[in-house]
Amino acid sequence: MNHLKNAFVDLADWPELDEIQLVPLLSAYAKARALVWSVVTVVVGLAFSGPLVAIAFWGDKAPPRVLWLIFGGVWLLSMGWWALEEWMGWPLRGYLVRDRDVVYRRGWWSRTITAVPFTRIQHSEIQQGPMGRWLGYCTLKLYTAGASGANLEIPGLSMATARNIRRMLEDQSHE
Amino acid sequence: MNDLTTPRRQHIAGLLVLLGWQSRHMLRAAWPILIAAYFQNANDAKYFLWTISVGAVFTLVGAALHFWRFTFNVSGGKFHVYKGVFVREKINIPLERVQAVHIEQNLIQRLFGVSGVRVDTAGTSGSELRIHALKWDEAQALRSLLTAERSDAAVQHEKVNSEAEETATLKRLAPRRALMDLDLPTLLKVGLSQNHLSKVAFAIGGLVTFQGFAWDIVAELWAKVPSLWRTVLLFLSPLLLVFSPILIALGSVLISIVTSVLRHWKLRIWVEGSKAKRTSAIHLTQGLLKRQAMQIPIHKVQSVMWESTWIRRLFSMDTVHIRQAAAGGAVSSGDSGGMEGGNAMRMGIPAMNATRTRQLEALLFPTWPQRKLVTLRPEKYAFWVRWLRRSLALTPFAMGLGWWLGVSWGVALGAVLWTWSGWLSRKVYRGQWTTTDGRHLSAHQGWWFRKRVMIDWHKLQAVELTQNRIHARRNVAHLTFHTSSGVAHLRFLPTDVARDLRDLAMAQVHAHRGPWM
Repeated sequence: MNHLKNAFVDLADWPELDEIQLVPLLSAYAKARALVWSVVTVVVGLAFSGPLVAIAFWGDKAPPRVLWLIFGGVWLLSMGWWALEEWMGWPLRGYLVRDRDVVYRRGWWSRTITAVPFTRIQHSEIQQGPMGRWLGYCTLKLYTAGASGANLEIPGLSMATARNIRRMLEDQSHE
Repeated sequence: MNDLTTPRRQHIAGLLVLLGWQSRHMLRAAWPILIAAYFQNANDAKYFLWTISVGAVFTLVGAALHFWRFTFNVSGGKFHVYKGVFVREKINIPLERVQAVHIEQNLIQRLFGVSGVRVDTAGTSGSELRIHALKWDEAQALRSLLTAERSDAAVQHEKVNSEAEETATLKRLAPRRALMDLDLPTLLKVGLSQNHLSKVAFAIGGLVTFQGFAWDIVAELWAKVPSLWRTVLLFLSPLLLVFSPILIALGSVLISIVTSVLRHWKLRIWVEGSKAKRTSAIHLTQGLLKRQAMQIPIHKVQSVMWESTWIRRLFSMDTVHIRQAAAGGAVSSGDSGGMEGGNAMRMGIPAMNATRTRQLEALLFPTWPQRKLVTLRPEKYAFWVRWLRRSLALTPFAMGLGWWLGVSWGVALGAVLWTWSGWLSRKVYRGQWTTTDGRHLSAHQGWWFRKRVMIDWHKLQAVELTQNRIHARRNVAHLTFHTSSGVAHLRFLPTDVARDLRDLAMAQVHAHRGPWM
């Protein structure tokens, strides 16, 4: 009747995740995020303002000022909010590899802390896109079983760190 | 018994089933073309017909090639599948990765005496594997092979036929315990207690869609009716307005009963196998036109969900869904405590009463409750947030009425809507609670449609704690428990309770030494 045994777990000595100092991500990843924000801000700004400018110059009648105010306001608020989230959220982003699990924290307005036990990871993947190759960072993807969406992505790692975590996972799975 | 150890094709009837299956998929994809063709004149419509004909030829050739290139066998403790027309694909599935095997038999398959087999492997992409046609006894033999758990590596390399015979012998010797044998009165109750609203919506949608045709037919018939009868019918026509909702409701109930009978006819559930040898599995057979035989090994069950409507509660019944690790598919996140997950190959059992629920709990969660249960409720803040959100969403209606009929009417409607929203939010809030014994979690939610989800923390995949800045000030947080069959949310818990629960759940996962899937 082994399956009925279930030893009590004493939580007193169990480290609380929130009190642990997480390892920050590479600053190269911050640059990449800032670059993405800048490009999207400019492109969205042009997409909003372009037609209005065209109408103002070549149209029969200039677009009403309220349209400028609405589009400009939406653009400023959304991009400003995104910038604030990136600026304030960056110091909070971090990961931690413990003996038995991997933890990743992200978000400023809405903070999420995800913990995935090693024993549940089915396979892993290291991904490096063109921007990652240029700036020197990669993303470690850890896949769990089934359709629950519990897969974990840790971006902004150096290739050496990602490989080390992967090696540690392999060692754990062989134990 | 046919040899399943060497690569082999499906039964030749599989070609026909495959053709029907692919045609259905093609029709689903091509329905805009068909609608467009319908509205074209005869000259233009021929081009659409040509397109459809070419598509049909491709479907036929595709089905034939797929049938020819699809082979499978079981050997060396693995299920091997070879498929692909232009790109050859070889899939090797270790038998311990097989989560569930279901056998199905639709009308065409019954006609040819074959059945389809669906195998779920809980892969991270794509859905389950499907074999379209095997003889019934071969399908049973394949299922026995795929679901037989091996404890010893040596056993895995034995001849597969002897394994199947051994499994069959074990099963003959193993006790077979019936859980449910659905009788006709209970089956009718299941039909009566279905959610008829969806059928009503379907009926109204159908009427709206086909009203053009309906009017043409009515006008044609009307012209043939004698003038005296026309007068009588015109005199009685107001009655149609009164009776039409009743007729639609009766039609919906009838559809519910018919679909229930077709789906759950001769529903039988039993448990078979030895728990010590990890061969114990829950079996289900049902269906009138489309026969289904499902089997999920008990140790592979990842979560269980009970759900009920107010009608079903009148009959003291609810429906239970038993979920094994699911193949990658659609998973969404809800806005309140509950469980979401892919629907692929989920075992659904209607007509669960209190006794059967206790039996099922004892079977699937034998240690529940391990210790004294602790009840957790969301903070009162959850109620206020829900009330505010719902009321703000309804306020434009009141503003619209106020703009149209006057301020007093708007204020009156606003008061009614805010009161109704508050009452509803309170009901939903009170229906949301969770109990735990430190190893299992039983989460309840809902008021009109109630749900209860049970999971074993030993089988968790990940735990997620989320808190926005307003929640942080209010000292509440959300917890998400990921299992391989779906996600369970606990919302608006006190922050320290959420953190303790997360740490306890993770500790339970780490402390667990046995297999979990």
